[in-house]
Amino acid sequence: MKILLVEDNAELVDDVTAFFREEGYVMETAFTLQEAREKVGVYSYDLVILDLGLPDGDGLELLEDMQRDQPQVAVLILTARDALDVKVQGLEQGADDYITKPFHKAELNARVHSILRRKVAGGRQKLTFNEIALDLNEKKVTVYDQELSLTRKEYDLLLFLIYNKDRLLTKESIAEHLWGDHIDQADNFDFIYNHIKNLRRKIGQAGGHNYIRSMYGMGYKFVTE
Amino acid sequence: MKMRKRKFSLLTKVLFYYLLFTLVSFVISAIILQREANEHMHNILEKRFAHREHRIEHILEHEKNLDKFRHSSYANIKRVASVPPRFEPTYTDTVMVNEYTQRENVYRKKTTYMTVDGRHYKVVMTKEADELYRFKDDVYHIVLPVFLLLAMALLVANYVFSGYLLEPFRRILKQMASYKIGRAASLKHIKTSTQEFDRLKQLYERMQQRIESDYFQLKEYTENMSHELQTPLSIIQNKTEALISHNNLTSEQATQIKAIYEETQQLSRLGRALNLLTQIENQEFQNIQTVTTAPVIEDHLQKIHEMVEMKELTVEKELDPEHALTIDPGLLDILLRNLFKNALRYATRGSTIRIETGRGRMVFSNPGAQPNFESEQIFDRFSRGRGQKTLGLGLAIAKKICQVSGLDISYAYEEGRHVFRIEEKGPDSDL
Repeated sequence: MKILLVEDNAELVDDVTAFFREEGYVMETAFTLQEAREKVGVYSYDLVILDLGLPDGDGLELLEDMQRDQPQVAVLILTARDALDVKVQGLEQGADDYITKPFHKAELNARVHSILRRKVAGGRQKLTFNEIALDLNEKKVTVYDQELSLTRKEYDLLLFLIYNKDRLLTKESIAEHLWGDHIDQADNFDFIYNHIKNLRRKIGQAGGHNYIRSMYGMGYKFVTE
Repeated sequence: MKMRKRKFSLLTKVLFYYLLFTLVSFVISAIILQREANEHMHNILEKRFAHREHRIEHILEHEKNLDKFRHSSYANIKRVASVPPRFEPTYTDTVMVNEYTQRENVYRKKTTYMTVDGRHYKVVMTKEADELYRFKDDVYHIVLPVFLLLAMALLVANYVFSGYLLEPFRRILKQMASYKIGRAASLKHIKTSTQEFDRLKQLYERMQQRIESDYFQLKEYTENMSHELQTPLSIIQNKTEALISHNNLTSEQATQIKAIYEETQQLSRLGRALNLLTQIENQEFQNIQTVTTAPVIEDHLQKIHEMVEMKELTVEKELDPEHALTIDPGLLDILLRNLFKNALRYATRGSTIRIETGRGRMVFSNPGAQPNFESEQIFDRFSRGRGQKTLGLGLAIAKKICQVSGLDISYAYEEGRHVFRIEEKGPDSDL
């Protein structure tokens, strides 16, 4: 899978690039709109992560061109502009998703996974990790072929953890992933603890291993080894 | 209640003072004219009386018999023993019937004493003064109708001209009233030859330009702030997340990194909330529609049901399926989100949150401790409940949304419940 990251901040580019390379993606970067246009014109990508505020123009221009010339490429908008109209405009013009800065890399990762699954993988609907198997279409989880009865939130949480295995998921990023900005995150930490507890219990009851580990009271990690 | 003074139009006021001033000057000139007339009349009569006296003196020198004067209207002469000391002639005006015309006329009577050849006489003469009196009355008869005529002419002129003269002024006012920030309109099409209005036009245009430039600077500033601040915050956030991912941190280090992380989060939320406030203030949300509230509220309830259960709360709803608001749907969403957040945070565990819509209003209430501040302050920025780790901007945002959407939001603490009411304002009630 090949991703083009269009972003003008070098530090952020380094961070995100390193992250996705670790995840096994081929990463390319463009710092300006011009550079991005050239790359998109010459190479083919599965996904473009597009910052809107670029030094030489608005990322929405590139989005427009791409919708015309290569609509099969998935686009994820990345921006500091939190305005509703920009959000709506971007999605109307054909972007697949939208994420505002500052974002959690875990969240970006989950979104990239789900976009690529929907748009590119074209039906890789199963995700397995050791004894745990997720059916992404049916939103069902089995452990040793035994189906777990999970709530929607528990399922989302497990998927988020597995997408980001071996990485720390802070409580904030989990809260944001599960509830959006629907409620102040500070209020959510008890809920997260409850969900984690239930998830561990349900996996454990089906004979599964406890992979979820609490990290310094800051968050959780799905540990693979 | 404070009494409001009645307001009058400028032209009416000008007219009123003008008429008052004219009336005063008319009265003064009438008085002066009358005095002049009096004096003039007196002088003429006096001249005639003097002439008559001269003739009487002449007669008295030669004629001893005064009988022929006894009933004469010319003069009534009586012999007297002496002249009263320091006597001055006296004048009286009386109305008598004229012998020839049989009409009532005003006569002036002069009483004086004469001494001719050592004999003293009392002489009473009468002379018609009608003409002169009529002249005196004429002053009033002329002045008053002229004044009334002038007043009427001015009233008519006021009525006719107020439309014409004040037309440019009214158009300037209309432009000012419809001004929306970020949408400056030129007043060039309003033509006026009135100096003051022209000046007003220029000043207003200049003021508008200043406001516009301030506004765009502020807008640029907030946009830059949000962009330039959020990117570094992203980096700090990612780096701290990376740091904490290491397994070999001491708990001391972990605590410190956690603190940095949490403050970064807080800073980023603060930036977003302030940015949102500015955007609402700048009326950037213009997708105004009629939104039926019931389905939107149901949707929100769906999203928060988990937190409701966690706090063992009950939700009581009484939703009017017809209730609708004229608002940008994005803003309505933010408004409801903030009201629900607030209700969830401050509701006592195990209590009931109530939502009612209908009859043009939407009421949210939840039980909770008595607030320790004035009820209006609840909407202030950074006012927050005791011991709450929140931004304290949620209700300020809610209030701002209501302000730009023509809604009234009010808060009251009633019977142990925090009650928020949102009502639609009448059209233009803020003008």
